Amino acid sequence: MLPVYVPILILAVVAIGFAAFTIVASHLLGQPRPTDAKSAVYECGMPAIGTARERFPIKFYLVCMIFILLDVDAAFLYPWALIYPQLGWFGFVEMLVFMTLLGGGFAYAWKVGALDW
Amino acid sequence: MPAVDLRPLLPALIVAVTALVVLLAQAFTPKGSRSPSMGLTVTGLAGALLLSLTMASDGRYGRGANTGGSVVADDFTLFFHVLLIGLALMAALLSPAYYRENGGDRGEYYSLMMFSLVGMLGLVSATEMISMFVALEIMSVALYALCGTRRDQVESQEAALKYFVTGAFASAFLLFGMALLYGLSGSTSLARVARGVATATPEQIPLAVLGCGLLIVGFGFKVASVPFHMWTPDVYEGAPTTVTALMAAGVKAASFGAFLRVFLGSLPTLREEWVPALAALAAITMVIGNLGALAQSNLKRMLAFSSVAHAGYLMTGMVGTTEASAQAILFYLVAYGAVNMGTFGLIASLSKGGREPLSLQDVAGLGARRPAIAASLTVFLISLTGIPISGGFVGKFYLFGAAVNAGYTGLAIIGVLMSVVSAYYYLRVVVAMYMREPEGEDVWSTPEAPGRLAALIAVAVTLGLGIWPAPVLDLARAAALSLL
Repeated sequence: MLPVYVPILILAVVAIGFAAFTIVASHLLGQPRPTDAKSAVYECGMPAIGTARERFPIKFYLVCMIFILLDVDAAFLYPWALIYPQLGWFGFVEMLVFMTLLGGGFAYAWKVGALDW
Repeated sequence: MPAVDLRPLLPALIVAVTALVVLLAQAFTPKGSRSPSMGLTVTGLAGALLLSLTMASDGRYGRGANTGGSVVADDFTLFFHVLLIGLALMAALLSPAYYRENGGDRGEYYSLMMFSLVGMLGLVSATEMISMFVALEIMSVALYALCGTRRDQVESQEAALKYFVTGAFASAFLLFGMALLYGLSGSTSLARVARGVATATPEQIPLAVLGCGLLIVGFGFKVASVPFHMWTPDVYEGAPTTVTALMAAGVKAASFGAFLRVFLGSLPTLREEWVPALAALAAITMVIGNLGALAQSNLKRMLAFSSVAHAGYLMTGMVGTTEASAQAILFYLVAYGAVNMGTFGLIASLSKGGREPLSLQDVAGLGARRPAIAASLTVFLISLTGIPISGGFVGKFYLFGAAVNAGYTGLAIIGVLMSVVSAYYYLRVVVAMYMREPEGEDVWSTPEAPGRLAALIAVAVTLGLGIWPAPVLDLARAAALSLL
């Protein structure tokens, strides 16, 4: 039972070891030349400290929605591809309907300029 | 994998494809020219209606067929399909004039309306809980967006947000109820759930009752029954009037369709448990809906409370749990759908420059200035009250009859008393139209041909159901029989 998990243990040790190694190595080998920008707290390119009620472009929201659609689409395609042989024509038609609706939605979003930044 | 019959999905598929075509037509129409949204919508919906009628009248085209145990095209489904597509068709006819006066006659609106219709069609035909839930969400999500289509109006945005937040909350209840029934029966298929509940051991019964209760909360929200009605007045008032029409007529019908299929179709063995709960809800819904409507001065808000009250009348019919109660509810949904589409439709087609006739002063003297419109509105209000020669009277007669036969005479008495109360606020509008002097100048639009056609259909159906109800009663009976 337990020996089955030995590879996972090895992977965990290697991962932690690698992380520790890179941090220690860069600390020892690197030559720190700090600037204001470099020593600031990193938060995905946004200022980390400030008001939380900031306005941000609505475009983020649109791109986000379209991304989620694509994402769900892909997530749906993988299991479908896996059982496609059993589904046969039925599965093909079903997926065609799904893709047509989704593709139509994308064509619409593209055309009305949801992707123009 | 057995051969799967996809024919039950065809009407919904036609509507979905039309919605997509309208959407793309709008996107690819060059700026400055008008996309033929209404024409495409009406064509698509008429095609779907024709197909549903063909399926209903001739068994060869897939009536009774079942798609992989998830969607069925039985008489019950087809009855609702014809009703719902018909209502959407009327809403589409009423829309262009309204949106031209209020801004934003765009293809997206028609498209969302049809996507919502796809959800409604799925909701009434689903025989499996996941399909039912997905259909419910398709219907609701499109409606949340539709409520907010008058983006310049804060009331419209308020309606969209309120409907969305409370609707998502109600969906969670529904889903939880479905999960409990799934846990009990090991299947999401309604037929298997019915079997699971029927053969449940005493320890499992509380689980089933809890599931039932959560489902009542979920459906109660969608049909706007007290105490899950709080969203109704604000959403009905804030949403564009044509959308309100679709909500009051279509969503209520579709939600009652699913409500009936789940409770009468699959959970009849638990009727000892849920019928008293439903009867209590029906009683408070009728009382609070009607008393709430009494206090309203805004017509749309008054009709919203009337919609709550009517959810109570319909639930009164449901306590019978027999085929007669299902028949009464189906018949009443037709009558109620036509009336609501007509009333909201006329309000919408009178609107001009962003204003609608919403107060009693606005409709004062309408009988002298616009005799045809005032007469049509009178027919609708009479039907809502339940006065003879209107569909509403026959409908209420059968609904309360079903309750009396089930031994709930007290509930029927509350229903009748509340109908008397409702006469006050419905007929107040009629009195204002005919017995008050018009105030100020006549600032309202003249309904255009498509809107007049829709109103005419609504009047014809309302009076037709009142004078000669037999054909629809027979169809409703056949539909009810296919359910039970």
